[in-house]
Amino acid sequence: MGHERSLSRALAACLERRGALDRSVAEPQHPDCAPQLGPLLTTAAYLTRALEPAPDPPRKLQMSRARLLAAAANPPRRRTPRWRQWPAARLRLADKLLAAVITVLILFAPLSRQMVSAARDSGPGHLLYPLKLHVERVQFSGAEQPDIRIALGLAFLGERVAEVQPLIEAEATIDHALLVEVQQLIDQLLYAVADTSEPMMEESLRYVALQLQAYLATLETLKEATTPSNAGDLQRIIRACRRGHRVTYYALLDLSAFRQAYRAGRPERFLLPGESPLGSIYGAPADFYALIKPWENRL
Amino acid sequence: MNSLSASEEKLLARARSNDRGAIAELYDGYAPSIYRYLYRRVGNAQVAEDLTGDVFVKVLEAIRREQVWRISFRAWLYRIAHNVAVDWFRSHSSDDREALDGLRLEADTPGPSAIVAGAWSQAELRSALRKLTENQQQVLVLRFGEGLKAREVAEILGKSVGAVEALQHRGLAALRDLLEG
Repeated sequence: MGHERSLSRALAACLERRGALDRSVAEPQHPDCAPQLGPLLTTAAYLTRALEPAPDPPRKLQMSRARLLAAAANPPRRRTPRWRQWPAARLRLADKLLAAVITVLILFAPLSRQMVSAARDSGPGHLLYPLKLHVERVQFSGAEQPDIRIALGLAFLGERVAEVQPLIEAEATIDHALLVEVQQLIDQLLYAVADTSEPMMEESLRYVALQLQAYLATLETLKEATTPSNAGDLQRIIRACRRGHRVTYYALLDLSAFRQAYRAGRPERFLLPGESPLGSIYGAPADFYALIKPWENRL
Repeated sequence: MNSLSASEEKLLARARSNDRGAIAELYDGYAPSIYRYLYRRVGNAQVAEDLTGDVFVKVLEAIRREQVWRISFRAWLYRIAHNVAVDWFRSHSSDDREALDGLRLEADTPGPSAIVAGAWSQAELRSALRKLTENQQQVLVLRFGEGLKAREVAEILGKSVGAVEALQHRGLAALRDLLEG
């Protein structure tokens, strides 16, 4: 052991001085280790020469330089999943006010129960509708198990889809808050799916894909009843659902890439075909649905 | 504690505020050596270029997170490059790597400079190098490919200088055994 250590040190001392790679110079300085030192120095000399040739880096590195500068031009949108940020930082002012209202309501529990119950039956445009959405968000963020979050998210999304129908039939416009809510629910569903355990993920993705497909079918049937004032809004909701559906499809093809991107809170890393890393993650071309339609039958 | 020069500190501060000029400057300053290092590890120019891109994207993310490193910036870069190379080796089957080896060795063979004047060819040496342990490869590539001192290698690997010297000794001995056996 002692000899090995002194050999290591003698070798290191010779190698620190490049000229000492020449065994005829190095060996006399370490006579005790000379028989073992010589072959090792020869090997080191060969290795140095074998590793010498290097390709011309400046010419080769333009692509990765461009990639880095593209990443620099595109700062991260968010670092943690949105559902995790809800309880604190991402609550908007309106939500914070609602939280205060809820706190007051809890103090007046009997009355609040009636209000929450009334809010559950409210629809878009109703005074208590924001309260309904808030209660749902609290329920969703409070669920610890990803499978419960998925079930809740799908149920809430189903309600949003059902709420669109009377609006279209009444030829009313669709509130922007409802559009945002649908988009956020789909995002949270995908985050929840990415949070499931590895064996469950594939099944969860298929389940979410099928549900989204059903919602899309419902929304498609409403197209005929639209007016110029709400056709665009309905189209936006359909587009958000289509993108969610496409994400589930591509996630099934590459589970690990999906899991990594969404668990890191970086969904923009899971780009779908036709999307640009520099563009919005919701910037999918409208006609892409037609392109993937044949694949949907395989789900 | 950071061991950064004043100019590095300024450059990183500018990069942190998303100054693309500073990011480009960092890249231009360090990318060639990181590329050469990765090329020596993976042996394929295209893969080395992709991995160099990965290293600098990770660096950019770390700078944005204001991650503090306890070693010099250069050593930290090599450590990231090492991790990226290890991930690459893990995610690629040995078949893929052998295919790459084939391409690289074919490209290496023709030039007269590619042949070491002695008992072993460059290809034999590189092939034997690949058979060493991960740590031994890392030490030998950094010492003899990059020409770093044992102290710098120790900093990159987060090991003591003594441990690096021992790895260097065992690596060279194992390499010789492989070449002679």
